[in-house]
Amino acid sequence: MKDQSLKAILDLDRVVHEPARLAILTVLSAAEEVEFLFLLKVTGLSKGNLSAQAQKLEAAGYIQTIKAFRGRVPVTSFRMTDEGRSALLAYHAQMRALLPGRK
Amino acid sequence: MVADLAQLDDLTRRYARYRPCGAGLGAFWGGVLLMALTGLVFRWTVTAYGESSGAAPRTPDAYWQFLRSAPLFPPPWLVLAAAAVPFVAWFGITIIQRWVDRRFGTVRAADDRELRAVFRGPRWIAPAAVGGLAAAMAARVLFDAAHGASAVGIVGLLAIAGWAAVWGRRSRDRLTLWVMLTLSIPPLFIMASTDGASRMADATVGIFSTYVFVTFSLLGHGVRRFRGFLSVRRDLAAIQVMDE
Repeated sequence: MKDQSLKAILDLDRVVHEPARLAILTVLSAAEEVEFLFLLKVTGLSKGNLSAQAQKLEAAGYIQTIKAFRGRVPVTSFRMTDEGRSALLAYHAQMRALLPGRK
Repeated sequence: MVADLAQLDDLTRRYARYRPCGAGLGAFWGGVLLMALTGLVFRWTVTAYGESSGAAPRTPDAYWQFLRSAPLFPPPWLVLAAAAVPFVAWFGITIIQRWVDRRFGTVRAADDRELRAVFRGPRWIAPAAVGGLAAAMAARVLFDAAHGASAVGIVGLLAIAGWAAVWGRRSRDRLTLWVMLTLSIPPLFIMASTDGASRMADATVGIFSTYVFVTFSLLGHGVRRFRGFLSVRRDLAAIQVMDE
């Protein structure tokens, strides 16, 4: 039983499991498209950390970066991919299984 | 960093829901424009009534009879103002939206259901209603060609219908769409009134009075949305940067 739990913990998606990335994915799962500025404010991450974590999520194929212009100002937004949504749902399911009694 | 994931989810959804239509301020902008145009319409009809040479006593009934019977042409300044209203309204809402977004940015709602304030129908209903009514009125003005069709009126009607296709595509938010509908229908009546034979002055005054009441309902939605937005802004502002 203990071995199974340990395996389940080791099987957790490390890309999603990191707190900053989990926060980013949670925000993106609640919207269609989110601007960098909002992610910065709502997660409380620093610009550098947010950029670095977003790059890791993009490299994993979990989010998509959208660059656009608002007037002359460049605006960066993010969108969750289907792969990212599946990964987050799978992570939630794994955590629920690991922490019975928690929703 | 915010530890509670449910709170993150809730903040994002609330922000996405309350942000559109300039966080409800677009409804106020629409209200101001409609009131201004209503004032101009009453100024036009009351002035025309005052200048009429009828010997009848000046009563509300006589005014209404005058509107029903006199072939009234809206003056060029009123036609210009009416044609400009849907355009000015949209640009105003866009500017207000940018001002609202300057602090926390843009978030687009994942679910269309979250934007169904005012009415639950599909998003195309509002622009389609404007386009349909504009086409019907343009046809009516054209068929009145025996009396001299008004080119200005037809161009104005088609411009408002074409603009409806633009704002109808750019927004999913029902409050924004409804504000634009409310600001597009009354100007159509002014455009159709440019055909004097149509005798639409009474219908124009009637439709403005009706839409002023509709505007009050939209203002109620605007107030609710703005209050929701202020509440989510307060919650966002309370988040501290707790990064390593």
